[in-house]
Amino acid sequence: MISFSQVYKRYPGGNDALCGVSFELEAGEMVFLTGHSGAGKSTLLKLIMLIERPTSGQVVIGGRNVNRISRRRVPHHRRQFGVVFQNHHLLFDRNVFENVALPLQIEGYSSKEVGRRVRAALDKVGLLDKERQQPIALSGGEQQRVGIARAIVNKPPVLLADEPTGNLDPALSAEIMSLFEQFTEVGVTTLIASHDHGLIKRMNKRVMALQAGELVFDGLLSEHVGKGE
Amino acid sequence: MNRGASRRLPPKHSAPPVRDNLGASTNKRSVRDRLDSYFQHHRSSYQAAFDRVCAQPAQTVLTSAVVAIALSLPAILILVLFNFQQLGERWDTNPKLTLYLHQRASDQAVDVLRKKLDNDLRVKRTVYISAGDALAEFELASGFGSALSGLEQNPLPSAIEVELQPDYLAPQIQREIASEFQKEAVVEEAGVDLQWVQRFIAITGLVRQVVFFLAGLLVFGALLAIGNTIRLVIENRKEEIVVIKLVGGTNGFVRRPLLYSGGLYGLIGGLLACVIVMVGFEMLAASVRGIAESYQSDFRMRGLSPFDALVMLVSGTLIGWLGAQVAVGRHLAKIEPK
Repeated sequence: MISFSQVYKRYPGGNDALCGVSFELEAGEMVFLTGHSGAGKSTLLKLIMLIERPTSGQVVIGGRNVNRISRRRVPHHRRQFGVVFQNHHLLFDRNVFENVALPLQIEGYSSKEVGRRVRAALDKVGLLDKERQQPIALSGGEQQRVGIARAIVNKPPVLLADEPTGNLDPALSAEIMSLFEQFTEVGVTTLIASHDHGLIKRMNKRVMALQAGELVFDGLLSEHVGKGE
Repeated sequence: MNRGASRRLPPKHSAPPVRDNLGASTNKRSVRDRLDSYFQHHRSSYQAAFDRVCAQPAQTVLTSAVVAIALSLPAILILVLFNFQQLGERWDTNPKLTLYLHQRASDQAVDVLRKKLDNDLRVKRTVYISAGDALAEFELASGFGSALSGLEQNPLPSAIEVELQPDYLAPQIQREIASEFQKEAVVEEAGVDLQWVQRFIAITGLVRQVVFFLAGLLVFGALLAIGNTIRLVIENRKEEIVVIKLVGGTNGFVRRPLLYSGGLYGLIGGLLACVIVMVGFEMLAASVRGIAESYQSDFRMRGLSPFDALVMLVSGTLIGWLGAQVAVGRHLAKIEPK
């Protein structure tokens, strides 16, 4: 589903964010991406979403080399991903329903279809009764779940999450993670950037650890005792 | 918080999103569906633009006023110019050729010439002014009566005033006809009183150029004003634009409501301009009517026709749309997710 081979990313000014990163994600896999801040986690996600382009190397997503995607096609490329952000990027001038509906409106669904899908997504994250509320009136955990509903509303094959539990207490984090697990059960590839070690350990999924732009670990934590990261 | 719902496994809503082909979801929708949603987005863009325009009345009035001024000022000038030209045309029907006759021309020869002129198809009417009549008229007009009565001989020639048919009023043609009549034996000199007409035409031409130049400048100013307002809208909605781009919104999707906003500002400006021009003309027309009446003229100013109003509305909208287009082109590309 997602494959990196020898990907380098150097930002203007000579800062190497990724140095020869290679990995392969299968469809329906759930993977944690970990590492200190500045290790290249965000850069990796940005390369997948074509917010940044690799300096060299190949990024292939769904069988397509992203280097060949023109600027004009970037929006269409991004529609394959549901993205959950740490600061959830909700729009505070519209209610929960309208926030979740945004990707569908962009893709051009009929309003009937939009209503159906938004309610399904809100039901999924347990916020069906809050669709008319303003995001500002919701708790942090609820806001994050609105963000998740928006990420999954167009049923993307890939879910990317950048520190999705960063601001949440452990109970809420666990709840969010169980949501993600449910998506993987129906075949969504999920890549979660996080430095919450306790959480990652509990989930016992494949972990990729980045250190100074290099992939220093890739596998199950339980099979690797005394790892460096 | 409704935790129960989140734990429920998805029996019905989550049709498996697994797909071999990543773009499949977009291809599944029919063309009809997509057209529907395209128009749906146009409607919602328009609605959003309309709401924005209503939500900030001060901003709306200021921006639209610039468009209104940019449109109404040239419109008023063009209308005034048009009316002047009309006035000019009315005067153009009157110019006469004056054939001054030899002092020694016999009455018989003059009669022959008058008959000839009256039979000429180009001539509408002739008036014979005898030397005596001319002197009497001159005395009356100039007030030099007593001085002239001291003269032994009448110094003025008799003359024939020739009014031409409307088809022969162009200055060039009048001059040709005058030189033709000049050849008549009894005619000493044929005069055409054309200079002022030509000057009038030249001046209106010049004024027209100035008006167009001014209109160009004003429209440019209006474009900048609209562009600036749209730039502010873009600044205020930066976060929204970033989110839209992150979830796969095209530039077109972001641009659409902004272009609608610009167009709406322009349309309101056009409406304002129509009102300004109509009110201004109503005020002016009253006094013009007064002046015309005192000259026993039935001259009426031509105001804003429905077509003119339509042109103003359309050009207002175009200016707004174009201003938004410029602002969007300059500022939207810079806002990208980081």
